[in-house]
Amino acid sequence: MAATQERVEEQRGLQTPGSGQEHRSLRQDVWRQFKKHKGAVVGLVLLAFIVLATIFGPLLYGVDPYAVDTSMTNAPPSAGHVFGTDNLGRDVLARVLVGGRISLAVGFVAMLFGLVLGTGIGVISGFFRKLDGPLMRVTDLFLALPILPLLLVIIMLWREPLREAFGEELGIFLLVVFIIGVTSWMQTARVVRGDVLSLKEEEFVLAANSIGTRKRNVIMRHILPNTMSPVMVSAALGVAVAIITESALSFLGLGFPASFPTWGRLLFDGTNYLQLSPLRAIVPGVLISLTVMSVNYIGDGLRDALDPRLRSK
Amino acid sequence: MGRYIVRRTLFAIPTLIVISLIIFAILDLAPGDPTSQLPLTIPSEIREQIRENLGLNDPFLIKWLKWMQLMFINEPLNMIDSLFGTCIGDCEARGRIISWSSRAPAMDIIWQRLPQTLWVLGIAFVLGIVIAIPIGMYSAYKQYSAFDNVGTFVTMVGYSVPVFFTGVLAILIFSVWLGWFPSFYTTTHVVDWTSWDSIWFQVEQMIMPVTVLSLFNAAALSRFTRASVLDNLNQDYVRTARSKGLQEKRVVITHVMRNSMIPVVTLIALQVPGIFAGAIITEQIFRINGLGQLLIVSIGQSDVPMVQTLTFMFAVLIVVFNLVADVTYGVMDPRIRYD
Repeated sequence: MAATQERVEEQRGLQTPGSGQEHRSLRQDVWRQFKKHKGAVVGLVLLAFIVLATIFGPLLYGVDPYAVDTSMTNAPPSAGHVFGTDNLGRDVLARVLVGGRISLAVGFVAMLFGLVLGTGIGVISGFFRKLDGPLMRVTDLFLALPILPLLLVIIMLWREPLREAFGEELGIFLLVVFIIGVTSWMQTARVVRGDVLSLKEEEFVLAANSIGTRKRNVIMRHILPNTMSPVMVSAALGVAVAIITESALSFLGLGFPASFPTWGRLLFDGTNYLQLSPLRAIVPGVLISLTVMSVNYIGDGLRDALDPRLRSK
Repeated sequence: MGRYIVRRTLFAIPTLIVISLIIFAILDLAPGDPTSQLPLTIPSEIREQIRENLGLNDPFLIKWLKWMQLMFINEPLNMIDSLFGTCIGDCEARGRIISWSSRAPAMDIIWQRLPQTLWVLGIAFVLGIVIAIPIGMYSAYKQYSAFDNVGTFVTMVGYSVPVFFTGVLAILIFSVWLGWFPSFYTTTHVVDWTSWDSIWFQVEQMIMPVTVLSLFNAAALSRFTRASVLDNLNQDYVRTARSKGLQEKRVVITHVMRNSMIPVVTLIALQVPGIFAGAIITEQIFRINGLGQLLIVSIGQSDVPMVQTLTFMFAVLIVVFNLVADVTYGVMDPRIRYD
């Protein structure tokens, strides 16, 4: 036993830097490749900045986003109000910062929900042959549903009961996150299924099966970690889709209420005051666009970095 | 191939039936009472009678089957009758899906609204394709050139900025500040093809919605075209074509373009239903009274039959264009054998 240990140590010793064979983990490799994609790095920095600004911005800025000041309605930008005020004299920047918290939270939570659902269905469908047919038919069916009209209808019909059950804010949040997640898992499921189908024929899975590893452990230890590349790319794209969908719903007046504004809702409210205070519409719109763009760039960078054909260069 | 088309078409029918069940169930099982919008002064017996007349007291399955009969049998028959002036069966007494708010058959209202939507969408769609494909191809051909770098960045912006922001921005810049175009669409305007003023008025009011929508479509499509052309440019057959001395123009246009257009054409077909969904937002921004706006208004009025019909029409579009995409893919790429 001790001898084996020594031999392993010896082999490791051979691979130390200097002997030319530098050890690199997959994660470092991916990160190295990711850093080469300029757009992705800029996107990552920008997204981090936007997330931090919405978390800590309201504390630093210190202006109450809900404070009504009727003597300062539709004011242009000034020292006290960096982006001016709205028709009730509320500070535009403070409202945008607070609204960003909800928009981003919806984006990330809905993405996570859709991702877990999609990965779960993809793995089950790829791993268990009997469930493959039915689950893929369900996926096809969901892909054929008219998503936006259905989202509008569901929100319209279920908003009131959920508001009564969970309160104004949580009720809408749960509804929006749930329906965006439920309607956005299909691509992930398809990609993951394809990966699982080829993975389960690999030798390491055969080895795991032959030493009697439980199915659950085979999936958790061997299959799932190997499907992470496509899942990460769809995670990035999922955030973008979720943020755009939420903003679109709010823009159509069917998302979050005006008292609990998201970027989409602020943009929607701002469109009626384009002549008086254009910044009210521009600021949230620019933030939605910048967030979506950085997330899309991160997705592009991840796709390149996780592609082994590109990484080996 | 023929067998494949038939099988694929037959498979679309159960899909549509299940979708109709889902749409119907979401609207029917939702909490809320359709008669709650009526004035409170209506006595409860009459209210009950209204519910009975609307068929609201039937069991769920009966309601769905009745609706299916109207949607899949009566409405298509009615369409045939009005197109060819025929009268199949009992055409006078044939039941129709009636909108609750306007009391007119839902399909008739949809036919009235369709032209507005199609004009703006159709032009935006065609324009998007015409812009996107040359840009995507040239971008890929000159990979990493200045044109490609600028083009990639611009398409990324176009792809990321949502239509509801570009639309608002266009209104702010071109109608509020510059005053070039009207900020909303005058749908009562009937184009008089003999008068330049009338035509110009129509063009003027269509420029912004069409531009906004077509740029968004073009961005996604040109990214896709670029990727597809790049895939093909490194293939062996391109090297072969060049090495046997073909002109560069022929290599690119006859060989690369034909092959790289296969996935692009499929994507174009798949984009069509998405464009109708995008119309919901565009029509809301520019106040065009097309199908998207009809849907929003009907949802606001809790007009269940109208919403069901419209949503189902969107579903039909998706299923049909998925079919078209699959079939064109099979026709254009003989390597793909389905049976």
